[in-house]
Amino acid sequence: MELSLRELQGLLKRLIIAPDGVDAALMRVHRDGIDRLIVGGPALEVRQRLEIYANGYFRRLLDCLKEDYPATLAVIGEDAFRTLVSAYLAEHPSDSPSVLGVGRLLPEFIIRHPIASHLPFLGELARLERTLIEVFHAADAPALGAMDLQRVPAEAWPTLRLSLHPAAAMLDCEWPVDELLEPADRGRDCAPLEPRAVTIVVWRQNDEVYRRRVDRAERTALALIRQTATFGAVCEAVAPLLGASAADEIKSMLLRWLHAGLLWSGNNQKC
Amino acid sequence: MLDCALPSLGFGVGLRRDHYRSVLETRPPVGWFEIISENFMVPGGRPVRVLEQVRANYPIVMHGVSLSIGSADALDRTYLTALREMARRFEPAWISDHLCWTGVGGHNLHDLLPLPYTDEVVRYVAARIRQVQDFLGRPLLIENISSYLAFRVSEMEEWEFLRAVADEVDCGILLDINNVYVNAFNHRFDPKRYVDAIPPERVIQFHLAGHSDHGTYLLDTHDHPICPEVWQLYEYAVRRIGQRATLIEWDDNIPAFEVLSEAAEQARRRAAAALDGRPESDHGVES
Repeated sequence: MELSLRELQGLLKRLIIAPDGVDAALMRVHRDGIDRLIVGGPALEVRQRLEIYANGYFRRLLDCLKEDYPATLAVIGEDAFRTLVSAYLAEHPSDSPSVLGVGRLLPEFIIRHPIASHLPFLGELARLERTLIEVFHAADAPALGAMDLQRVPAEAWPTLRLSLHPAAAMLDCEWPVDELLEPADRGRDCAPLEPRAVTIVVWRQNDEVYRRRVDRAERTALALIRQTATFGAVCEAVAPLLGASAADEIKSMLLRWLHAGLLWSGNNQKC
Repeated sequence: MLDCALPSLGFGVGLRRDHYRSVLETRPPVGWFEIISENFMVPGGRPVRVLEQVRANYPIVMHGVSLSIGSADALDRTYLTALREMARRFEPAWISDHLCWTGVGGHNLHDLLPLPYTDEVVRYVAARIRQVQDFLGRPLLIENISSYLAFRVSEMEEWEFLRAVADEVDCGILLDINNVYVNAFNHRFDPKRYVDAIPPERVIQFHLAGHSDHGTYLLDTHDHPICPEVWQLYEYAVRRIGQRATLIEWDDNIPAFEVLSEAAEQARRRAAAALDGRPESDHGVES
């Protein structure tokens, strides 16, 4: 049984990543054939040797996803998470050089998975957890500071374009899934989680990742900034939402963003 | 491309996330750090910043796990470009990866899988290592892996394959002593025979690690202390090959940093004793 290197590696890959296990996968190839490829021995049969790799493959990636999605794991429990990951890896074998990329598509997978029918918030929770990871690893860039803005002449403010920092993201959720992120909150029965639209901003400052909810006005402002709207356009859009205190509120918002490093001191803030 | 001028780094440990704070705050007296290259192939954030700070105070070596030099797939140019950028930024003493394949068909198994030990594969892998070295503009060390299966089509022993590839490319070897020991158990050969077959001048670095004993086989888990038999094999390798940069690997159930630095110190004492011809000891060589 002479196989090319590609055929040999392809066969081993199919046996190792088979979601139904090595035994079942071996049924799909001739067992005699595999014995003519791989050396068995008195201590370990060929099947057992393959299982070492298959078990290692699944355990390694399962551990990685447990670490990436601790809240999702806590909500559904070990057994369901293992089943979910098995189905996920069957549909999305890793194409990433780093284990950091293995779970990239899990949130979207969950949204389409039957588990979402009785835990409809689970995909959003996973999406929030993925965002925390991506913000943690996002590109470094100088944050916009108060001094930068003090140099902007008054007449230039209406056409000023602010930019969100690369290590900042905003998520619109239909469920308050951030309530499930803290370990202390996960022990509770998740069933009472009621649908309630929230917008969560996630950002990194001094290498730590933070998050907080924002209200409708701040969400509107940050969404426009993300679209590189002018500061004038941002003010026009949010002023009706803030009423008489709009000017003060916008100023407070801006100070909060500067304090948190939510804005990027790139070229885009030029007038 | 084997560069005998590669620096002798002494005794180091793998840089792991659990120890970032301890390493930065205490600046421990280890000779160097080895990083898993892929863990730092991210746009930014804390790991990159930690690495910058570590690099400011220590030599580093970039050790990869996803080059997949033996894969039937084409070399991943995106990956290689990221590796080259990292090397330019952090100037490692050298770059290493494993003599194995880690994926095929565009999928990564995140494991180190053995190759058939044939002349054809020697030539295939050697040509790819040359391509990688040319692309990186730096020497690449190849490391022997732990394995749990072997192919009937193999025409030579593992150590002959490792040597043939290194000779064909003229590249250096990162000799993992624990992997030699694990494979000797799993494939029933004398580990000293393996060490004896490796040309000393090719060996630039040693790896030391712990493994798990599953009765019928040993698993290279990097989650245990280095066992006495691996220490003895290390001493044998030092006598046979000479003192080389030596690194303690520990990737799971990671203990306090002091445990790793003590293992590095123990490697230093054992290497010195081995070179002095002092008797081997299973329980540490007191200086």
